[in-house]
Amino acid sequence: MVKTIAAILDEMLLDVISKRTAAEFVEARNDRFPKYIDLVMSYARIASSIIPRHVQIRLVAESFSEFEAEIRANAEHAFGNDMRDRAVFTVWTLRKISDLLERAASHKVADGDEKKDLEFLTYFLVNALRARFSVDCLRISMRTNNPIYPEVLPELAESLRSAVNAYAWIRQTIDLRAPSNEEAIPVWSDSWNADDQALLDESMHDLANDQES
Amino acid sequence: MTAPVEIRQGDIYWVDIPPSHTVGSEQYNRRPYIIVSRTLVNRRSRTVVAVPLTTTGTDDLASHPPYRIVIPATEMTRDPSYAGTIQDSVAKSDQVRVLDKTRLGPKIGALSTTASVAVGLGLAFLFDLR
Repeated sequence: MVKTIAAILDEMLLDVISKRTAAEFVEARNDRFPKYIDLVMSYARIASSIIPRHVQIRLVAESFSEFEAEIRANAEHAFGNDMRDRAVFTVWTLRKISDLLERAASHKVADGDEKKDLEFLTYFLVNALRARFSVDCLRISMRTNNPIYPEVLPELAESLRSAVNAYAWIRQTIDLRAPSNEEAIPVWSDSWNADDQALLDESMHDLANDQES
Repeated sequence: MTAPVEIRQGDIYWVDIPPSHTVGSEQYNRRPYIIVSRTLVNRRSRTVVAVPLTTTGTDDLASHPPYRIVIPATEMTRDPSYAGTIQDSVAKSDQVRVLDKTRLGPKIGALSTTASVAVGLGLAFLFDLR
């Protein structure tokens, strides 16, 4: 069943990346995205029910490493420098999100915060899946040697930025579940010294004039 | 210029860096800066760490690298003392700098928590913090 879902996903993504214009791509993405969410969530539910937790964590970490290696090896040739850099940043962000999900799962939601917690997680999930959809488009393009048309790339770049929003929402979920008590920490004494002042003076100094003199 | 009493992480201030205080591609002139150093640290230090905002290229995000964080105007709240408009902006994480508190001009407003966390992500990538 897992293989069938993976095959359906690949077929769907190949169809989406075959679009020649940004408008066609957006239309295809908007049309397929709800089904993509269903399939990815089904895949995740099956995986979590048959694979032990510690193995899942290892597999996720390995999949990030593999994809990073794939980006380093093929993304520049396939999409150019700019898109490669965006893919690197997005996968780096998704890796951080994966770590944060573990932290979020280790904290319970406080009584009365359930509604807010659900709201944060919903925003997180929508953004994370949107970013993952775009990453999957890049992945399938590289693995099958099916190029993405240049007019479509800016749309993909834009939706890769959803990973940043996903990160922000999962961080807020953690802050809600395990609030930091930083405000209550007393202000420690001012230990400003001559070295601090010298560094500050240097950073603010007119370097241009220094170089001229 | 009087230093503000409480400078919070995520606050946005006008900062004027004279061109003569910069070299090459460093940011200068009057522009909004987001305070990225922790509120706790800001309380005891004479300096803050800040990231400049720009409105250039908000209509062409491909012109900014991914670690520069897009901040929609809706993710900023305007300070009651500020009469200007708040515009869609981009936080230039790669132009982060230390500022003496006396460089901070009028307060413009503050970022939402979501936007503030996002700017932190851009900095974490920049510094390769894992």
